[in-house]
Amino acid sequence: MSLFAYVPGTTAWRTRRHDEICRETYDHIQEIVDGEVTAAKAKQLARHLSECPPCELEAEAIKGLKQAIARVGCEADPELLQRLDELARKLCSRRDH
Amino acid sequence: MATVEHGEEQTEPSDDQVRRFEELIVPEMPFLARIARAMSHSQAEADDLAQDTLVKAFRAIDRFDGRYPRAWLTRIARNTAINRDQRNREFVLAEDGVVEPDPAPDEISDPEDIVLGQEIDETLRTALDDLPPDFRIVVQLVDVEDMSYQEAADVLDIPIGTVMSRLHRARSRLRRALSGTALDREAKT
Repeated sequence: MSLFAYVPGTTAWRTRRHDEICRETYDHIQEIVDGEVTAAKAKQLARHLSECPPCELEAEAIKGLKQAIARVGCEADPELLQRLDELARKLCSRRDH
Repeated sequence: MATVEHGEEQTEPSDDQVRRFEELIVPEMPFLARIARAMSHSQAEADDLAQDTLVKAFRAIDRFDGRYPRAWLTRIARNTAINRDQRNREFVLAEDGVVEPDPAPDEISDPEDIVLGQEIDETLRTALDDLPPDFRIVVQLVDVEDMSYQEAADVLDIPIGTVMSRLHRARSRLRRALSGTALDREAKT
């Protein structure tokens, strides 16, 4: 790597910084989407997301998956719910017998 | 399957026990049904787990401080599932917890989108069923019940790093399963 990569303001420096932030963002993209990074870090990485199509695409893919999982996962089996309801009533009414 | 008679204690429940159970636990039965399914390999197994957990919760309600009923139920269900799996020896449920989903309103309204949404949901439902329970429960807790990594780690009694790695691996599996569906095509556009 060119020494210019360590000279602030140069094109090589900007490329190196971008690559570093890109790697960091990609490594933590799950935590970003899940809201598990600090506000300061989230702000820094959000800026990168808006400028880096591959990272943005990955974040959008995880967001879309989360939304779909939330939609499917909120379903509870109605027959089991009915059985639990009956069991709860039996438990609470035993003392009356 | 759990029954009221199974392992029945001799003492009668008190008024306070019944009142606290009805107040704190009964409203969380849909949550219990969801996490039991997430911790189980089949719906039949989930039925047993949910009912066993409910009976244990009823018996232990006097010792419950009343805070965070979902976390409390999750821990009971998790311990029950571990004992079940140790008995069965078919699966090892080493470190999963439970989650409670808040149904996210689906804003899809266009007929074509509804069809695409159904395609995704069916494929995803199957893929979720195919996940090992220890992966599925982490997904359930974080993505459906909206728990933080730390909260999921606490109720499952596993390290937060395990939550993250299981979540990552589970999502990777789900994304592979969804490859070619509308969700995948949308992500690639």
